[in-house]
Amino acid sequence: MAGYGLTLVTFALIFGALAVSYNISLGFVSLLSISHAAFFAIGAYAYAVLSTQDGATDAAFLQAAGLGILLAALIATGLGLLLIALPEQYVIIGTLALQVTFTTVLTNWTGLTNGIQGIAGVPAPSLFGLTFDTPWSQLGLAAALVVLTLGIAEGVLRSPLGITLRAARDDAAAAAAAGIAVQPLRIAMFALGASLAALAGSVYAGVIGFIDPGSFTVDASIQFLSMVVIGGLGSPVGALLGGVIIALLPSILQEFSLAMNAAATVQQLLFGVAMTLMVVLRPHGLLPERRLLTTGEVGR
Amino acid sequence: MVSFAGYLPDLIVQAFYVGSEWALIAVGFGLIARTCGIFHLAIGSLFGVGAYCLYLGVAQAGFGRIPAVLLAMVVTALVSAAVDRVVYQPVTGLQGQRQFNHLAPFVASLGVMIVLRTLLQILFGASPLAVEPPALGVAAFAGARVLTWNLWRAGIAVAAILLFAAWLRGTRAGLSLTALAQSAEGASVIGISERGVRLQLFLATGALAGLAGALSMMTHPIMPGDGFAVMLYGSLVALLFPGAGPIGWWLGSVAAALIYGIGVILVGNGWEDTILQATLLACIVVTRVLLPRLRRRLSLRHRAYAAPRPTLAEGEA
Repeated sequence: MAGYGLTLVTFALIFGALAVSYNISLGFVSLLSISHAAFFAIGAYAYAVLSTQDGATDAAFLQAAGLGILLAALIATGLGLLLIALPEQYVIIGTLALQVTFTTVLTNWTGLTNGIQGIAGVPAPSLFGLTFDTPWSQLGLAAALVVLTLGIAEGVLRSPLGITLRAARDDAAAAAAAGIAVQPLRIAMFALGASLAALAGSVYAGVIGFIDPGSFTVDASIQFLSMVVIGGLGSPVGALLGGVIIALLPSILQEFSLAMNAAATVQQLLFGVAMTLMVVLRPHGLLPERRLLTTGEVGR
Repeated sequence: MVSFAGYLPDLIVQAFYVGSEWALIAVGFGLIARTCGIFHLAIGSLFGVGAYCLYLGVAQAGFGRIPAVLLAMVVTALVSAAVDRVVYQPVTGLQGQRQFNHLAPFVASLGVMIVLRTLLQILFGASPLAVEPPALGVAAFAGARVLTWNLWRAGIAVAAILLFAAWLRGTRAGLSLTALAQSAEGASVIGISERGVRLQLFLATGALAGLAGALSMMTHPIMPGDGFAVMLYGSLVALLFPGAGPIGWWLGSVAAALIYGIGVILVGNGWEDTILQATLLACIVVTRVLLPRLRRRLSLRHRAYAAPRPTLAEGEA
């Protein structure tokens, strides 16, 4: 039971880190892409494919994580260059369509992904001679991922770049007039968020040991979005909290004697209700972003 | 083996009736986006509500098909209006609340989409449900053999779109919508009530979405999430031709359904979705990003050549 609890917390932390990464593009520069599950999948499949090949070494995790980060950054940059000049509605529908397309590719490219059968027997990650194959060590790995992701997000937000990003987000026209390169900044944050999502994906695949396209659908992307909305747009700690709450929700529902299928359905319903209620009643989330003027950070 | 050309008449006829159904969604999505600035992603779930209302009417309550279709349209119209009143109006500031994040309507529409779809799943289960399709025989049409019901299906959808287009052009409410799409402030100055016009818009587009779902349910089995793909295709068509209006969106949807059908014939195995989405996205990028950039560049170059060179005296001045 202790092992089960540790595994739950481990997944909650991974999803928390994923929500923090999503918040970098969604909360920092207000770029609503509905394709974050695709970037998460890139990291997960990079590790699953590389680590299950014949002759895979202990360095597979580092190689796969690096490959996943690179691929996600490249795809996000390409996507950003194509779509960012369009009005926001086009970005949303464009990324939604790409997410659907990506799931189709994962399902149909059986030579690489094994299709809907998925990839089983993904080994636990090894890093610097350590193998993360026990619940405690995996919890430590997930915690390290959270520290890294949160550190990067908070670092960006508290730096002068953070102030620039907020200016670009809150009034793009005024920021551009002040000489801020708004679109390149938005693309850079989109790529950074995508890269961190890919890293979280590699850790996820190593911890869970089995992946299939069903974990990376549009619904997953919407679920990740709900984590950020519920936690707090623009607030890294809020997004972490939202990710942890949403990830733990199925287990909490099972405590109410709901069968697995029913719990999944009720969970979906709760996502939808929570997202709708949050934007209507508490649009800034559970832990809203700190406003610069009220905290007196400007000018320090 | 039949050549591709041999399939063409069937493909075109199929595109006609499938695309007409997609167009019912594209019209609703496009008009709400243009008039209210809301991305009504939940319209895909209204498609599902319409489909299951028809199922309830025909398979459970024993209604005839026509009363069941009307029931589906009334229910989806009411749900659509309720969604606007309870969710969209507050987050777009129409009820005088504080300013919301501009992403709020998108997130709200995703939330509503999930809620409606999951409610359908809880009420009817995740497995596909179907009603007996009308037995109307087979007809030869434009060189293709087609179920007569499919011709009816397309005819009903096209009639609804034409009726809707006539409502837009010929009624006070329709003209108010056009005014609202051009300038909400200007519309309010001349006494147009945004809330009243929106109510009519959401009722009408909800009824169209319900009609699309009901027609689909009479043709093939439907699952709670099936409206998502229709919403995606309809929204891509509406975005590709933003100012086209109902008839233009209908033509665009038929063209999209033709691409889909060609994808099925040439590739199949589920790639047809990818082919259609990639084609529509590529068209959007070309028409909305690349061509305007090219046009701007050419126009700048043209101006540079056309402008008279300043004389030395003008330069000094």
